[in-house]
Amino acid sequence: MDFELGPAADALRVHLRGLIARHLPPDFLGGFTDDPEDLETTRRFCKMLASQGLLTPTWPDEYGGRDASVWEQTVLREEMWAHHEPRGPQYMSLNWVGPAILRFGTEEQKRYHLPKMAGGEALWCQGFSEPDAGSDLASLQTTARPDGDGWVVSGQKIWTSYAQVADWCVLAARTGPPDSRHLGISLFLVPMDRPGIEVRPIRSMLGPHHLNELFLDQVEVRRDELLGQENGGWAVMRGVLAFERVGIARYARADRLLDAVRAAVGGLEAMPPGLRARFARAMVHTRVARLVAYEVIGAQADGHGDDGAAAAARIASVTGDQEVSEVLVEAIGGAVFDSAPAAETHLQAAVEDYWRYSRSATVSAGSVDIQRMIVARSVLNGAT
Amino acid sequence: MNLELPGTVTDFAASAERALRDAGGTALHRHAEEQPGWRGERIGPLLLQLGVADLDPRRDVESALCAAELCRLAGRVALPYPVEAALGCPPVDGARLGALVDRRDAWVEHADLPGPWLGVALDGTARPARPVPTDRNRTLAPFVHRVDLGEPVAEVDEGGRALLMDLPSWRILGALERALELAVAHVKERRQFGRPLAEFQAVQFHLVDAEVAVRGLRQLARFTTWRLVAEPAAAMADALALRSYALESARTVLAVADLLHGALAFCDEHDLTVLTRAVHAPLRLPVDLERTTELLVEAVDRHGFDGLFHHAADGRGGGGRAAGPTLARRS
Ligand SMILES: Cc1cc2nc3c(=O)[nH]c(=O)nc-3n(C[C@H](O)[C@H](O)[C@H](O)COP(=O)(O)OP(=O)(O)OC[C@H]3O[C@@H](n4cnc5c(N)ncnc54)[C@H](O)[C@@H]3O)c2cc1C
Repeated sequence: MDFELGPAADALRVHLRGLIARHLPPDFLGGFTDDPEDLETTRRFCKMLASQGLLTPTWPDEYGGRDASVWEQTVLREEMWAHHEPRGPQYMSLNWVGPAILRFGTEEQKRYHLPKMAGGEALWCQGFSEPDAGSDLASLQTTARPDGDGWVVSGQKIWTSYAQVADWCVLAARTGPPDSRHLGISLFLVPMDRPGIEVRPIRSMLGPHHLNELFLDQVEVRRDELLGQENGGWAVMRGVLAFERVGIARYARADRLLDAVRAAVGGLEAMPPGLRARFARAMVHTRVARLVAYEVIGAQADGHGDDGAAAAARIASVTGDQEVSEVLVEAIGGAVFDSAPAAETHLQAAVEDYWRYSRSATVSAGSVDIQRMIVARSVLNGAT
Repeated sequence: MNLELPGTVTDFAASAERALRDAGGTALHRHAEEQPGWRGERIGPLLLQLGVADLDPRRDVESALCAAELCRLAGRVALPYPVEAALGCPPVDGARLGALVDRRDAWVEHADLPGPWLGVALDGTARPARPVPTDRNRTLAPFVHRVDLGEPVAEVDEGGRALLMDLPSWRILGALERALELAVAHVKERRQFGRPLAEFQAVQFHLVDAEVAVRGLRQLARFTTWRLVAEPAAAMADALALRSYALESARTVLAVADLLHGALAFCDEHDLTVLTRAVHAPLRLPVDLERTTELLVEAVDRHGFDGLFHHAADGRGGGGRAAGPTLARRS
C-alpha cells in the first residue's frame, strides 16, 4: 500500500503549476465570467496544453494522447479545477465525451473527433436533460424519427451547459416507442450549426453562457453520427457517467482555498472558536473526499469500478463543497462583498465564486439524492 | 499509488478474524462482563497465539496495517481486551504503554488487568497509572477505570503518541462497520406497512449517510496509518484528523443503526447494544470530539495539513508557499 502518486505525477503537478502561473491572468476565475476575454483565455490554454500532449494524456498515442497513467490524469484534473478550470468548457469533452467515443465510437468517429478534442479545437455540450426529464432522464421525449438512412430529431433540451459556444453536441433522443424508457434512447454526435438547432441562453448566478435551452426543429441526423447502438444510448450513458462522477476534482479547489484563506487570516487560531472547529473539520472532510475519489479511480483503472462507490464518492465531494463554501465565506467575513474580479481582490473573488458555484454542486450531473438512491441499491444488494 | 492492502496484511486479518469468531465473537464481551477476570486468562493468550507481541506497528507500513486491522476486528466484536497495549510497541521500562490520557481526568480501559500500566499524557510524559478501586458496575464502557497517575518516568515521542491516537480509531471503524451491517440485515428482514423497511426511501437514505461515513473513515484510516510510518512529519495532525472524523462518523452511524433497529437496538441480547456500549470507551478517551478538534486546530497551525496535496509552489512542500492569493482588505 502506497499513497504516493509517483514521480511522473508529481513532476506533472509542478509543471502544470508553472504553466498556470505563466499563462493565466492573475484575476482568472474560469471561462464563465462577464469578461469575454476569459473564454478566449481558456481556448488558448487548451491549445497550449494540447501542444504539449497534456489535454488528453491518457488517450492512446494514435488519437492524440500519450498513454499516461490515471494518476497523472488525476493530477491534471486536480490542478485544473484547483485553479478555476482554465480548460473552460472543454473539461467536459475531455472527462467523458472523448472517453465515450473511445469506448463506443466507430473507427471513423474516433479518427474524426478525437484528434480535434486532443488538439483543443472542439467545444462540446451535452444535450440530455429536458423540461420534463431531469432526474428521470429515461422519460426523455425528444424524438428521432427514422428518415431515409438517418433520422429527423425534434424536441427541446434544457440546462445545456456551454451550448452557445459549443461546436458539437452529444444529443440523447428517443428512437424507440414513446414509452420505451431507457430501452429506446440513442445518442448522436451532432454539429451545432446544423439547421434546425436554436440556442437560447438562461441567465443564472453561475455566470453568462453557462445554462441554455436547446430547441430542435426537424434536425437531420445521419446514421454515421449515431454513437453506440441504435436504442443503446443508455448503456453508453451509464458506462461513462460513472467516470464523470469522479471527473471533477472539487476537493482540489476546496483544499487550495482552505489553505489560502487559513493563511490569509493568520491561522485557524485567529478564527472564532466555533468557526475554527468547523473549518478544521471541513479540511478533514476535504481530505476524505479526495481519498474516496482515489479509491474509485484506482478501482476503475483496475477494471472493477462500481456504481455505488462512485456515487458515494460524489456525495462526499458535493456535500463537502457546500460545507467548505460556508466556512470560507465566514472566515473572510465582509470581504466577500468586496470581490470584484481584480488581481488584488482575487482571494475574496475566488471565495465568492466558489460559494455561488457550489450551490449547484448537489444538482448538476444527477442530484445528490439520485446518487443516494444508487448507493442504497448497492448497499442493499451487498455490492459494496 | 497502490490502494490495496498488502497480501500479508489481508492474510493476517483473515486468520485473526477466524480466531476471534471461533472464540465466540461478541459472546466474549458478554462473558467478560459476568466474569471480568476471564479477560486475562482467555483473551490474552488468544492474541499471543496470533503473534501480536512481535507486531511492532512502527517497524514498517505492513506491520502498522496488521496492527490496525487487528484493532478493527477487535472493534467488530467489541473485544474486551486492551489490544493496542498487547501490541509489541517499544516498551518503556518493561511497563505496558497503556493509553493516552487526559491528565486532568484520567481513565484507562482495562487498567485493572496486570500491568504495570503507563498513562501517556498528550504532551508525551508517561506516568505509572494505577486503577482506583471501585465496586460500581457500569453499563457503558464497563471496563474503563479511573487511574491515579504517578510521577513522569519516560517520554513518548510524537510518533508514538500519534500511534496511540490512531489505533483506537480503527476499533471505532470496526464497530461502525458491524453496526451498519446489522442495520442493513435488519431492514431487509423487518416488515412494516406490508413491506420490508428497506423499500422505504427514508430508510435507504439513512443507510446511505452511514455508508458514506464508513467508506470515508476506512480510507482515511488506511491513509493515516500509512502516513504515520511513511511520512511522519505531521503525524499528530494526521492522527487527530482521523480521530475527529471517526468521532463524527460514530455519531452518524450509531444513530442510524439505533434508529433503524427500533426498540430491538437497546436489548442486551442484540449485538448492537454490546457494540454501542463497548465503543463508548474509544469514543470518549482520551478526549472527545470538541477537545479533539481543538487539538487538531493547534496541530494544523503548527504542521499544516498538506497530505497528498502540497500547497507549495513546487508541489512537493519544499519551495515555500505558492505565490497564492492573499486577502485584500480595502479601506
Ligand atoms: C450547473 C448545471 C449544469 C448542468 N449542465 C447540464 C448539461 O450540460 N446537460 C444536461 O443535459 N443537463 C445539465 N444539467 C441538468 C442536470 O442534469 C439536472 O438539473 C439534474 O439531473 C436534475 O434534474 P432537474 O433539475 O430537472 O431536477 P428534478 O429532477 O426535478 O429534481 C428536483 C429535486 O427532486 C429530487 N428528486 C427527483 N426524483 C426523486 C426521487 N425519485 N426520489 C427522491 N428525490 C427525487 C431531486 O433529487 C432534486 O432534489 C445541469 C444542471 C446544473 C445545475
